[in-house]
Amino acid sequence: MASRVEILNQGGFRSDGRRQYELRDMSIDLSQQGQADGSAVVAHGLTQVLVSVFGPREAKMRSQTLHDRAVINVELNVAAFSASDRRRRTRGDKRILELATTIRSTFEPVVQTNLYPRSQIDIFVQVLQQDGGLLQACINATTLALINAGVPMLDFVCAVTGGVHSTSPLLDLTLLEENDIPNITVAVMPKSGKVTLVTMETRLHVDRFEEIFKIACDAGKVIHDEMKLSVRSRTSTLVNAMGSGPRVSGVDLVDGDGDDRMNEY
Amino acid sequence: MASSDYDSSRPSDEEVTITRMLDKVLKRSDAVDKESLCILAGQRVWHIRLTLHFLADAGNMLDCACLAGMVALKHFRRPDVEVVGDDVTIHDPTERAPIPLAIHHTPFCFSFAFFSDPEINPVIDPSQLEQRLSAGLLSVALNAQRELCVLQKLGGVPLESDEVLKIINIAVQNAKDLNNLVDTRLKEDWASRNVEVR
Repeated sequence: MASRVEILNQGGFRSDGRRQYELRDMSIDLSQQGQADGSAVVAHGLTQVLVSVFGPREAKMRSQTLHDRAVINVELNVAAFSASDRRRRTRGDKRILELATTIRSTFEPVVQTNLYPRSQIDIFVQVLQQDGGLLQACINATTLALINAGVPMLDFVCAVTGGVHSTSPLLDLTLLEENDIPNITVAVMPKSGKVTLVTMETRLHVDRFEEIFKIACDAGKVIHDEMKLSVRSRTSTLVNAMGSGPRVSGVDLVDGDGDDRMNEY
Repeated sequence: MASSDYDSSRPSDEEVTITRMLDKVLKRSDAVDKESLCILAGQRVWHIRLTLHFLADAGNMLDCACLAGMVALKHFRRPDVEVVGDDVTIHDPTERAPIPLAIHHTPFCFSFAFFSDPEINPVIDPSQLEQRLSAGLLSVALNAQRELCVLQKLGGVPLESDEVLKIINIAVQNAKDLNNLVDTRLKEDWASRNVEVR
């Protein structure tokens, strides 16, 4: 069925008014949700995902622990009201299981699990709104939630989707574009520029793929800047609220007994 | 049956991955032309059922399964059907020669295992031992016309973007060779089945 809406028109504008390489508005909310150790609500345009992280904590089932590292469990729940047609997905839905496994295997080499043997880290992903780029939003939200929880990681994991419309590459696709053109999801670790995740489920020529792959890797860095900004601002909010910022007082902060150790105030 | 590791009661993680991958490669990539399976629009259609039995697991069952599935679909012959108005006559294979399915393209799957030690290069078609010791898997399904059908690197050790492209090029070359092999063997099999009646 040919789409009645043009994916990319003559003037270079897409169906939602964005340009070819323009990413959607990204909103990040790192405020605390319930009892979770860390949480993040990330929205890419209209796609909204909430991730809560519990851990590292004592493993509930001793039989599933590993003696030398922590176990990461991911549970994904897609809300029935998230898509345009209300549909309740069962827990055993293969697509949801696959997404959860993907998220787990993406973060397993990034989280420093060897610091917490015999523990578990639980990641609960709740999809609130779907408008394309679901895996992208889940991965970005999980990264932020893990950082918010203070789980030590080697680097951020930033994900972005890309697609090719005839020969023009596009970034950050909406649902309309995802259903129409071949698309890929790429997750990169920005410090090293290495790729942790690539998925593509639609047919695409190898040359076209090379093009969009390189562009998507660069786009990951842009997302990284956005994420870093939000983490910094959240941290400075918390620091100011706790009053543990740098003290400005008349007293010289000099080590009284000269042994470079903590002074009792 | 495939190995002592597999429990028939609940699907393991690997089983879910393989099932989803097969679904993407064989069904969602539109390898088989589904429109040609229609007999009477809105009323009758051919239902194709592909069953895969995994007999033994010596590593990389995914590639083997995809190849088996594709070759089975190419090898299959369905009964010829004649439609006159609303009358549908299905001819027995003994009366009229059965006809093959319309296949748009033939995707082949290649899996690469890579390891946490950066000195070790990624290996194609990992054995059981290599798969167990690997720190990540990259599966790429593509056809001989240089079109990528499915690309899947689900976490695991991070790779440079150039390495990913290099791996894809290797898969492209292998796809061509495999395509020739499959075509040759199917032709041989077809030749052995053609009986001339004098």
